[in-house]
Amino acid sequence: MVDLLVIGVVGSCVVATVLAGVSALRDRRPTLAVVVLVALAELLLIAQSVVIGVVLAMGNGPQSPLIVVAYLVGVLAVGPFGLVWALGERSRWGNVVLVVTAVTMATMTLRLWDLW
Amino acid sequence: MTTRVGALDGGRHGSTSGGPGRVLVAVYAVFALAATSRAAYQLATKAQEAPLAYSLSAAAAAIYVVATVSLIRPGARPRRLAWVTISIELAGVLTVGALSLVEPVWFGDDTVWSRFGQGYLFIPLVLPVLGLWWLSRTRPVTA
Repeated sequence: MVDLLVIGVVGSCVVATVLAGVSALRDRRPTLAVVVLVALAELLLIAQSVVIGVVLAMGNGPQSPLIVVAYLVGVLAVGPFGLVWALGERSRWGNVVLVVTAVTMATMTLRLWDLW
Repeated sequence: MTTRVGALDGGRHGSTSGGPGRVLVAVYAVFALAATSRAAYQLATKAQEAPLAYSLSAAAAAIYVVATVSLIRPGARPRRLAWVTISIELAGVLTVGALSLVEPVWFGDDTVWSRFGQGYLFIPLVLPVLGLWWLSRTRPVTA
C-alpha cells in the first residue's frame, strides 16, 4: 500500500467528518465541499486498490490476501452507497450520514493498512 | 401525534428511513457489512476453532442484514419484521454480552456481541435500543 494514499484518504475523511458535523449542528443540508471530499477519498481508494491488485498479482503482500481483498471490496462500496444514501436526505441528517460514511471509510482504511 | 416526529424533521408518515432514521439505517448497514464479512471469513477459514462463536457471528450478521432491509422498506410488514429482528438483536447482545463475561471459555473466540460489543465501541449495545426507540417513535397513527 502507498502510505501517501492512506494519509490522503484518512485526511479527506477527517476533514469531511468535521465539516459535515459542523454543518449538521448548524441544521444545514450537506454542502458540495463534503461531497467532493468523500468522492476524493473514494478516488484515492480506487488508486490504492490498483496498487494493491498489482502487488498481490505479483505474489507479494501480506500472508492472508483474502482478508485484504475482503476489506478492500467493503471499503470501496461504503463511499458510493454512503453518498447516495446521504444525498437522498435533504436535511441535517444527510450530514450525519456523511459523518458515518467518512468515519467508516477512514476506520476501514486504517484497518486495511494495519493488515498489510 | 405526528408533530412529535416532525420535531426531528423526519420519519413522517410512519417511515423508518427518513430524518434520523436515515442515520440509523446507515449504521445498521455498516454493521451488516462488518458482521457478514467477519462471519464469512471466520467460518471459511477456521470454523473448527470456535464453532459457537462463529455461528453466533453468522446469526448476528443475518440479523443486521434483515434489520437493515426492513428499516429501509416502507410498510407494515417490514416494520413488524424490524420489531422482531431488532428485539432478537437486543436479547442477543444482552445474553451473549453477559455470558461472555461470566463464561468466556464457552465461546472460544470473540463475537460482535462479546462483552456487550466492546470491540465495536459498544455500538452493538446502543444500536438495538435506538432501533426500538425509533420504531416506536415512527409508529403510524392508525396502528
